[in-house]
Amino acid sequence: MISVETINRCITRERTALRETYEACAPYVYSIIKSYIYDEHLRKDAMQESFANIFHSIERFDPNRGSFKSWIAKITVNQSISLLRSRGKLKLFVPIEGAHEELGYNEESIEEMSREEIENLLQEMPTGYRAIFLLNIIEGYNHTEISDMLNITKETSRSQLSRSLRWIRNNLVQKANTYFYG
Amino acid sequence: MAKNDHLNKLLRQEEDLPDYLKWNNVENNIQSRLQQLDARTEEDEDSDNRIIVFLIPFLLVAGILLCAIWYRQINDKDGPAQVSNAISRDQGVADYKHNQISESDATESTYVFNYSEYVKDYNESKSVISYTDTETDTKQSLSDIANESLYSKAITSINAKSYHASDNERKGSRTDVNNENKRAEKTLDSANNNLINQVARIERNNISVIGAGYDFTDYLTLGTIALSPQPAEVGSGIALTLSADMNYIQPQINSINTDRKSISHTGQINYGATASIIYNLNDNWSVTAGISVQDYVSRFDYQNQWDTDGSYVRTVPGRNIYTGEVLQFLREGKLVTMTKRNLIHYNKYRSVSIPLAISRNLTTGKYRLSAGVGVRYNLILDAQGKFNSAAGMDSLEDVFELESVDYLDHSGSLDPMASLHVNRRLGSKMFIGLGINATFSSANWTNDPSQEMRPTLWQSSVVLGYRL
Repeated sequence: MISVETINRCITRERTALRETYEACAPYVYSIIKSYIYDEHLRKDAMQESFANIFHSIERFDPNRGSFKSWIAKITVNQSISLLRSRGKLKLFVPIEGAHEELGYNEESIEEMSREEIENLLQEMPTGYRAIFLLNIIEGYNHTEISDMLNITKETSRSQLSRSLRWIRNNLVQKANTYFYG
Repeated sequence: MAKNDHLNKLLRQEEDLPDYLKWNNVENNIQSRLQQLDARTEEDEDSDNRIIVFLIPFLLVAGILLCAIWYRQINDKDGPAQVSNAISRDQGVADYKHNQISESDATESTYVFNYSEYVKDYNESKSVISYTDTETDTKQSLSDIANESLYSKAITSINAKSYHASDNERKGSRTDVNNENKRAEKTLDSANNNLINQVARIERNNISVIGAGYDFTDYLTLGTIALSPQPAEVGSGIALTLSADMNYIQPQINSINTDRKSISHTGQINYGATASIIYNLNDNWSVTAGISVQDYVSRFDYQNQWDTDGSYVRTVPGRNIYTGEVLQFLREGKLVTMTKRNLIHYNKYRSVSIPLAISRNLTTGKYRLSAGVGVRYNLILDAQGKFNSAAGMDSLEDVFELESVDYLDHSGSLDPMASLHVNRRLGSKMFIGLGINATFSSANWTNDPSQEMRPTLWQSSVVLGYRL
């Protein structure tokens, strides 16, 4: 994505290096932010906040512990979640005992969907469901990591994921019915 | 649920940025935000440095203080650990005798009796040291008197201690030694020893009464443990803490025992250790449970007073039935002596407690202030008392005795507690803290229905914590 030399120049805050890094990474960062945030103003804030934090802590990046891409992805996800929380847009429901049984969603039907269709599906999904779904299914965080990131319990994380999967399944069935029956 | 790589790739497809996210449109804001972050980091580093500058001297002073207290504790002649040394500080036999004599209000005088003088001083009784025989005009000792009939001996003068009869119900003096008559001194000293032994017996009886569960139990201060809620690091989760504790017992005694005077009961600083587990319900609330073992020490001082009956020889005027001459006759009298003795009790308790508390947390930066309330189940594992017992009255050995006492209330009690703690994060997992807490005993720790002791236990802690 970017060279070690560019990273070192970023540490010294060389303006051209910051620009190079931004231009190289911004499309990827933006793709992450788009999944979590649907408001343009918030997206801009999230982009700026994410890159400010990337540049601020770039000297702590250790290539031995992972790729630069996954490192900036983690920062971006954290900043997006943090922004949603600070703006009161991330509302999680209290878990209900027994309501978090693992529900499968129809992966085949989702994999047949286009990116636009998936984005539309995610946009319709309640914010709390979407965040957990993205963190678990898309980013691959486990419930312990999600509970730390969102400052919730693992039970809540499981419950939210279960609800989000149920929501997707119901939504897909509804869409299929609409398509089938008109 | 496994990560879905297909969805990941699909959603992470890069696309052109909208114009409002081009570098030229965001650079200024990013640079501005970057400067803010840099400034905040510098502030944190400065803050860290200030804390280190403050913390190091504080820890040094605290360490020196702890060492000093510990050193004093093991070297204190009055301390419970120093039985043999404590003897020299105790009121031993020698001091005891001395006090008895020095506390006397007696004065030594020589009296030449006649009837009129006796009448005038009728309310004054005499304790005879020696006397001058009226017939032989020679000075006689008490041992000589003891061999003769006191009722038939006429004397003209005596060396005597006097005391006031008006006070003789409660106050008086035992006969002092007379330098003029060594034999009398021995006799009197023997008598004194007898009195001392009587007193010792009385004292032993007192102590046995004490041992039966009254006074000693009251003044032995049963320790409860102060285990504090140690707030964890910011965020949710479970944390384990270990703390080194300094404790202080504040005895609160309601005594109706009027036999004891000059009562003072003070705690002494001692030590303990605590392990606890904290569960953070959220950023603001946490629950703490744990186990703590503490040794408490208190010192109880009081003055014991008692009356002792002793014999003395007094003069009684009489008239020679043949000549009509007024003579002084010797009579044996009873002397009531009030004796005082200072007693010191050292009381030591080992106890285990299980606290359960809920804390409200206020987090600012790396610091967390926690105020908690809860309950603590206290159980006394062992209670020992040591005092300058009457065993030391006859011998300088074993003046202090360390005795396990079985008359203490060993049953557990559930007590309310309150705490205040400040913690500081050291990293992502570790934190240190300082705290203070108080436990208010709800139970009467004595077995004696006429006396109550519901102490307050204070505990200060240095905490090391680890977040799981």
